[in-house]
Amino acid sequence: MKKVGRIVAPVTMAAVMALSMAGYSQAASAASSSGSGVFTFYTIDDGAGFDPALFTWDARQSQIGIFEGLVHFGPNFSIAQGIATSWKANGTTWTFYLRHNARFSNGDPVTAQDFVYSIRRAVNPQTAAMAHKASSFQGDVPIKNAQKIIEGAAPVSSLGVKAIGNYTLQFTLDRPDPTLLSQLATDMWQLPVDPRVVQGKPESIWTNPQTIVSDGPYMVSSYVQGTQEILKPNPYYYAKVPLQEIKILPFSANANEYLTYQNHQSDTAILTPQDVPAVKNNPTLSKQLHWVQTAVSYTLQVSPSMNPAFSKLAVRQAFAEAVNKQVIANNVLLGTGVPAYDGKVTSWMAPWIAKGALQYNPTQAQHLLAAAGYPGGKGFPTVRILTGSNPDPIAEAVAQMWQQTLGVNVQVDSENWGTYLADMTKVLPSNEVGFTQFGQSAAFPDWKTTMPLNISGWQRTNVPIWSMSGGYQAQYEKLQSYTMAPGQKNLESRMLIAKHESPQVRAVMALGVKAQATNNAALMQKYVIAKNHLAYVIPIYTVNNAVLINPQVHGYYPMRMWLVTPPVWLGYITMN
Amino acid sequence: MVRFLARRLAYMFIAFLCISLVTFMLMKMAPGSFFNANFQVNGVSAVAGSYGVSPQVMDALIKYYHLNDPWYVQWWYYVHGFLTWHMGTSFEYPGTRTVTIIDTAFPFSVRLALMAVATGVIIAIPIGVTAAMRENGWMDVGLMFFAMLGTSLPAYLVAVLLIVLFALWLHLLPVIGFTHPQDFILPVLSLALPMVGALSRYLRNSLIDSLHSEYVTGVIAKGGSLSRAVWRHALRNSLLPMITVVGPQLAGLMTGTVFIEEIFDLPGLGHYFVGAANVRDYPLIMDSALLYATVILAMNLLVDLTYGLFDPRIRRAGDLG
Amino acid sequence: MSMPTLKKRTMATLMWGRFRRNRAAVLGGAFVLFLILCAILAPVIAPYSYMQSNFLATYQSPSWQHWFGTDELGRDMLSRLLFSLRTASLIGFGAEAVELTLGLLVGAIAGYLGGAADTILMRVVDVVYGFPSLLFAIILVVMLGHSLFAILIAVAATSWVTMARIVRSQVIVVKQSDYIAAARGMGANWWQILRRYVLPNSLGPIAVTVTFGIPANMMVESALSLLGLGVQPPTPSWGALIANGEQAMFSFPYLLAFPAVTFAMTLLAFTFFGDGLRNVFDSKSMH
Repeated sequence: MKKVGRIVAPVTMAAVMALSMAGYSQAASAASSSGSGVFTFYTIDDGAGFDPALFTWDARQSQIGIFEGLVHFGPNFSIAQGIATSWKANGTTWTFYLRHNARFSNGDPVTAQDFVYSIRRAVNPQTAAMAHKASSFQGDVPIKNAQKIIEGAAPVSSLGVKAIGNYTLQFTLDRPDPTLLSQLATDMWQLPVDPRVVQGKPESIWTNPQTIVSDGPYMVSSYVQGTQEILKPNPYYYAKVPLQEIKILPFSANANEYLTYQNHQSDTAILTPQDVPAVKNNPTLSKQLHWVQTAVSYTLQVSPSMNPAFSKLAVRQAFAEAVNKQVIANNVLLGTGVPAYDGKVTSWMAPWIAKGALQYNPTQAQHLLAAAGYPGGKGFPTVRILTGSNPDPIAEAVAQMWQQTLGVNVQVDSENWGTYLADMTKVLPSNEVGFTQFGQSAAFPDWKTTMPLNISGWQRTNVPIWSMSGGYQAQYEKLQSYTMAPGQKNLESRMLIAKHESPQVRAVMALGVKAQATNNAALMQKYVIAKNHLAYVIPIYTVNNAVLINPQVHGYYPMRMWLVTPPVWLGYITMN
Repeated sequence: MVRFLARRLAYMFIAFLCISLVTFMLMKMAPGSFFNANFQVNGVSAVAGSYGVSPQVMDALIKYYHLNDPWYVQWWYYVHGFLTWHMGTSFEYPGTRTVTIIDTAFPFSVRLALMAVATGVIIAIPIGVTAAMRENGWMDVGLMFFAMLGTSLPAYLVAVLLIVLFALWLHLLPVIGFTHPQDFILPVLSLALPMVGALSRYLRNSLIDSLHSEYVTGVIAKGGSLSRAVWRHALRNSLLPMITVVGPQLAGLMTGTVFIEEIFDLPGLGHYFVGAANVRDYPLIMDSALLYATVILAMNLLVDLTYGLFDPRIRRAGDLG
Repeated sequence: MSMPTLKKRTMATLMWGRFRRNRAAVLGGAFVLFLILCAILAPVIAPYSYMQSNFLATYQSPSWQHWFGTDELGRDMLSRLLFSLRTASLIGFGAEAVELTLGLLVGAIAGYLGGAADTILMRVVDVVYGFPSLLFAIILVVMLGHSLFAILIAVAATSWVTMARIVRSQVIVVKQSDYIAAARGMGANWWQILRRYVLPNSLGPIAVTVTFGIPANMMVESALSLLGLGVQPPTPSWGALIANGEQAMFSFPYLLAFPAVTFAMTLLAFTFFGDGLRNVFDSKSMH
């Protein structure tokens, strides 16, 4: 995931949000709450523990109300006060003023020193290594010395985060970053843990409710992995906690949330496409249906192959223009998807994208393919679509569209997850070309944050790698399997890509880097469109969640960055 | 008897080793590995959340899980860990030892299976008795038709039909969940109904045989009522041998709960196994497969022993082909 | 030589008469035959292609154009059902053929030779019997992929042992009978004895096991599809159709009803047929 370089555009954002969140117009009325009620919802429980220093789904639950960091998201992705009540930025220095009455669930006060400890703990690569997981600090926030610490070149104590007194926290950055607040609201590494409880303890304390100490409005009261989780109000929270209990059910592809909702076992339900018509036909339920466009998109990316067919721009564009996304969204997904034009820049973030991007145009697609030397698909190698789920109706739909429009032979390989990941990096033989299915998502609700910051960052993404011809791709894969120092491996990979990536790709990337450096919105748009026209990635649809919400629930602002769209802040939820 | 048992136990241990070896080999041969998978995901910006680990962490993991050791060493780590009940941590849930997962998930599956068997027996007895008492009457024919229906349908199909009936049409029972007793009604029924067929048919035939026996016809001739003859005499003789029918059914249920756990989204061991096979979580695959194998081997032994109790010839022959 | 032929014919007539009287069994057998015909003729009788999508006609309710409606990609459900019958039959019969071959070989050799060969083979059978068969099938499919052949192997991999045990016990019973001793005395070798006397006499139980084995294989195949480990799309499979239908049951109940009911009927038909066969052979052995 690359979320390098970004510029806040609060006005645009607010407008977009207001448009697409019409269904969530109830104001957060925490003040009028009665302090009672049980809210039940589904979200992902990966059993990895609630440690905010690690990148896990459980840590994301920590982030939406079990822990409370400096700031969190409010309605419409505004930045709301958390433990920090005010802040000021001065170039590369950010100062946060913390509230004095914040306490952990064991009664310990939350201080600036705790934040320093927690952020250092998250940035320290040892923490993740000990836990056998990835760090929640992904290295994309320019805190001074963070990169060096991750690479082991500087001591953890040199991190640009320090406490001034008990209730003032100061960040020193490498470069000005206007998106810092938005990053803090999205990321888990900024959540404070209690050093008195955590220090020197094994990772297993994070799966045991008795040993999890948090500072958010709710604390973990009971937890059985994959079964059920109960949150109770943190008795030491600085404000009144609106609900008496929150019940979290583990999200699963097999759980029919619609049935659970109908049985009043859950207050929300994300519908499968097939359940949408039944809900729409039900006069009561149809009023409780809300549509939430997410930042997650289903894309197909050109797979590495020894066959050069897809190195021709016209051929890739022919495939992109032969897919009728609107029909897939309406007739196959029954509205639970909307056409996508980029993996990360969704049309709710950037409404202009639909106009500039490649459009469904079967005749032109046929012409393009014919002009490239494959009239009616004759002589074209077999196209394989690799996907990680069985069945995958979208891959089958796209296969049918290509077959019917372009006359090429398409085969869908619906593999189980492990095989899918193993096959993904295989270079296809010279009689085959292919696409691999990827889910992509933006980390922030702002399309401008998807610009490439520099060339080396971009070169770690798929497109430049896969734009090399098959032989070099094979070389690249071989390089990845060698055991050598990670720095050395990165350097050699980058050199290989720099030498052999397609010049078209290189030109588009240069445009993106320039747009980001000059902060020029028009240039940024041009880059996004140019990337779409490269057609190495064919975005199919953006997930549009059909969510049933119990009318008694108020203050549910969906976290649209995540596939299962939980509330952005559990502290806002009230029930009457 | 002791020698017979010792020999059977020795065979059982050899079988266990063979099964563990075959499972290990197959698992290793399956394309992809958990860590490889995670590393790739890191490189290709997949759906938010699937972040991988750094190469340093990977190297540490490979060492920790002995993934670079020769295959027999790796295999032995799993077998030894299982036999001493000191299993390592799972790949997918690195903070959790597989034994912790098994400790909660396996009893869940076993409880499900036992509840299903108990329900099956309880439903089968009145059906079998009624059918036997009305031998060849319309009641008998009708009940046996339904019994046949039960035996021919797999549990997951019964589950789907029950969901349609109770959840879709009647809006009666919860379909998802495992916290309230009523949550278990549908899963248990789905497993029990296919079994009722076999059990009630067995019971009916066995009851009819005893009812035709001279002793019972004698009792009835002396003025005893039919139902008294059934409940007092025939049933007692028929129930004990029913163990030989229930035993294999229970063994089948041990792994048969997998699909029911998937359909009703229940956190049983089968559910974890399917997930583990999907992501190549070697420790969890091995430990759950070995546990299932042990249970099945033990059940087979137990069934053979009970057969032996009923038929001394088998005990003498030493084995059952 | 005319005596045995006559005897065989009367026996067959007798058995057929007995079978014919069992109406359920005849009906079941006829239905099975009908299904096999449908599976063989699927490409001819299917009104549409099983994979051809019509995106303007997704989720169509049953109509004269599409008797069983259409699915999420606008594919004709009747055609898909007919072809799923083909998948099920290929795996049901194919896996049974593998089981039968292996079971016959192992069972007959073990039962006839006895001694060390018997012990070793039966120990192997015991080991396979200890495999958690469904989990084993899952790992096998994960390893081998989802080709029809791979699934066939995964289905047959552990179930042949039942056949081996039955054949062995049959062989042991027949072996001890007087006419075998007579044949052996006349210098027949073990293969001749096995082929001429032992196997024909064990035909009953074997036929019954096969009849019950086929639907059992179909069940495993569709269960694997239920877990997403079935045959590669767009080839339809009963399990996948049922799983898909279950997802859609609130809005499009017909997507569940047709595959679920036909699958249930198929399994039931096999059971009735097998039951009829068992009765026939049981009464034969009584005589």
